[in-house]
Amino acid sequence: MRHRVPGTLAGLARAVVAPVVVLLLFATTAFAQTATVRKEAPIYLQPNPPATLSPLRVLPAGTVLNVLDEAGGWVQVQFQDPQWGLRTGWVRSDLVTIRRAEPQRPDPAAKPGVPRPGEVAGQTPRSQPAAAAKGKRQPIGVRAMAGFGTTMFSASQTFEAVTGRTSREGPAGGVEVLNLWRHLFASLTISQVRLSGERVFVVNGTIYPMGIPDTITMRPIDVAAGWRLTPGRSLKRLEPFVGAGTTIMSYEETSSFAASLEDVSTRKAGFLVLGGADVTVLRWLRVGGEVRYRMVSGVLGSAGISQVYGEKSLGGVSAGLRVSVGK
Amino acid sequence: MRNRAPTTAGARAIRTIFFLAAIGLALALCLSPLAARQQRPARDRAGQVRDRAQLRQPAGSAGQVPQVLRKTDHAPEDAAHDQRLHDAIVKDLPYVPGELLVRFREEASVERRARALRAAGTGADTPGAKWIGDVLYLRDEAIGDPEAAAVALGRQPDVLYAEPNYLRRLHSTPNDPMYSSQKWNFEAINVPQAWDINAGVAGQQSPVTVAVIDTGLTTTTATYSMRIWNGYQFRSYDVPFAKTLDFDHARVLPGRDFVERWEWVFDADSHGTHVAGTIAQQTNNALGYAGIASFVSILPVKVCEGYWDLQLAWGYESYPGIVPRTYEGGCATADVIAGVRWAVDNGAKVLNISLGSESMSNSERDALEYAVQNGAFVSISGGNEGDKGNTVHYPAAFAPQIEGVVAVAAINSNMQRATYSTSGSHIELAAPGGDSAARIWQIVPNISDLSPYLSSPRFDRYQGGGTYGTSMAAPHVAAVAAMLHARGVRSPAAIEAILKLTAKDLGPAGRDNEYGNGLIDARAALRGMGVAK
Repeated sequence: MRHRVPGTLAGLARAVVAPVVVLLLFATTAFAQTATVRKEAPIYLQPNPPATLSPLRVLPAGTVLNVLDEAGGWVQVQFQDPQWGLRTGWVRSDLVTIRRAEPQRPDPAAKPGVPRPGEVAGQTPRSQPAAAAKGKRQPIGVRAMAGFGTTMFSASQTFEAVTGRTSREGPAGGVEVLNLWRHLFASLTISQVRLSGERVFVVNGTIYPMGIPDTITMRPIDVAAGWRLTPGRSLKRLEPFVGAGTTIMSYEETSSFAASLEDVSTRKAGFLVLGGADVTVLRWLRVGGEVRYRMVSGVLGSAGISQVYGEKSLGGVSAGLRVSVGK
Repeated sequence: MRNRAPTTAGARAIRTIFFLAAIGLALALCLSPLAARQQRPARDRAGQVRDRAQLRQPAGSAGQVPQVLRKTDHAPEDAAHDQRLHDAIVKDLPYVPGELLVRFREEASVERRARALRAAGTGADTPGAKWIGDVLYLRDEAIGDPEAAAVALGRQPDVLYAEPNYLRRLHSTPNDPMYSSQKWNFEAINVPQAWDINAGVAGQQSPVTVAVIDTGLTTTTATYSMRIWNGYQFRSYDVPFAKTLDFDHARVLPGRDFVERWEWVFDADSHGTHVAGTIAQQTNNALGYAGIASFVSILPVKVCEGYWDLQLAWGYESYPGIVPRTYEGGCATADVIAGVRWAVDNGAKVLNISLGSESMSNSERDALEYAVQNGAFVSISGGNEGDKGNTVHYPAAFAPQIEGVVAVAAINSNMQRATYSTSGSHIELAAPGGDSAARIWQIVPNISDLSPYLSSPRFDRYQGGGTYGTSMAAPHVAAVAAMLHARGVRSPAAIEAILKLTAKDLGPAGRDNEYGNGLIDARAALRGMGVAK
């Protein structure tokens, strides 16, 4: 009856998490799970007690306990008794919510279910997502992001003709500011795609390469706002997000034997939508994937091979992996 | 003895010099009226710059015994044809009498073809008949008026078309050795920049072959003894020929003479040398003239003849007569189509045709289609009738119907249509053709050596010659086409499309009848296109 996060993503996350947690010697490995008391819950010395037996203690809702064992609808927990100190008892599982423990700082006082002296068992820790879900304000967080992805160009025929490819990999980096209002975030991302090919003619669908090197560099600066979706109860490590914004595309195309003004260096604004998900690996480290779609007009379609194919949109779909650091 | 020897030799030398001087003086006094009569007109045309224009006088073949120049083919029917052809061009007829070009329907049997020909009073088994590709070339006095015969034959159900052997004219004015800028035409179409791009092609092992369907290009250095009618008798003259040193002759193929069938090709007119020069002349000559695509191989295909071609042919035929001095060259369509097909069959990938006239010739259109189907691009001069009624000329008028064949208009140095350049729906591109103010300059045979007023010509000396016409515009296009071919654009239709696409629009926006799609741009044509530009 151990609770498991379903899905390969969770499995992957756990595979990454486990060694990291071991490395962090201070991690509270003993308390892999915590139980949050949902409503006033009596704790007994043993499971399935006779109705006549009085509980050791009745805990208020919201108390966080460390789970030691589970059996037949009962959960063995460790709790801080204000009179007797740390004690062990059983609570009915339908009265608590069991979740995996967050890695914790080595502050014994902050251990879940271990209230500081003078405090009745546990108050909800501030940084729990559950708190946000209840409308409590989250502090503004900042994350730095680095990624690598592939852009599949909208002007695929054009890029295929000149560079022989319809997609190209490139790096990305940026900053995210979270919790501007509830789950609203803003992000600034800079990425780069560089391709080289040769200048061509296209006549009746046949491509004639002319042997003159042509290099294209695209650097979109994306400014986006988005929403981090509330994760499902069973997927608390996963943070899906969606967003939209504007991209400022800087486009350079240079080639040999160019006369003045024949090389292209321009910057045009376009439209951007994005979506993806981060998986929390450590409290300050997330890995994830995202997809961006950019549409920039005004660069292609009025000359060159893009005009031949009538492809006007610079941009396309970029898909990549990202690592973000910070909280 | 040793000391006295110089004295004796010196005295002998002085005596000899006196003797020779006396003879020379006497000769000069006797011959001066004659020489003046013969030379003055030539000098007038040549102008005072003649000496500056003089380029090289190759050592040639001094001391050799002159040979007699032969024809490769001279059966009685060939001789009869020559007489008819020469007669026709002297009389400025539109066609060669007694000759027809006939194409039958493919399904027509031999018997039905023979029956059709009998309607025109001739037959395929006459000695003068021969096949040029799928066209039957009939040469038979019995045909009489070829226009009437062509109409009669055309009515036959088995005949696809029948037409006279039309005469074409060269699309240029005579050369004039006057100096002016000789670079404007290259700058107009960005040739120097194209050379930068094309640098790597120059050393190609198998260069593109460009056929110049024209008056020829001299391919041999030799002196021949030739009979020339001087007005009252035939006389044998030693006529020296020399290759121009401004071509890399390793890249000049032997070519073929379809007009007079001389055993090798020479240019007795200068038109063919000029056109070939624009395409492929070497750049390392004294006057700085240059060809656009000097890396190509030139295939001289002689289908036109000038004044001296005709005069020498008459001498060979023992026909007593002097060609009218106004004669400016002619070409029979039978020779043009044979030349085009032969050039294509011999590997030409670009053809230049700087000639035309108003008669429409189906067989010529077929020959052009044959060229394109076999991977040869064809550049044709658009015609010089712009200020003479603007009559549309063929074969240029076929160009819009055939992808890979273009008709070229001429611009002057102000980037405007030269007034002589024919305008019309057939014009597809424009290129520099020059005008009397700014000509197109190339190395050509010495104009004064070719003067019709001379008793005998010589073809061994070269000079810079400035000429203008759509004849000069077409080879600019042919040369850029050859550059494109060398860079891997093999399809004639693609070459045409690229030249049009990269042409600089002149005149009203878009295609127009004066400039077609505009002035060709060699650099743009070689540079290709990028993603955005």
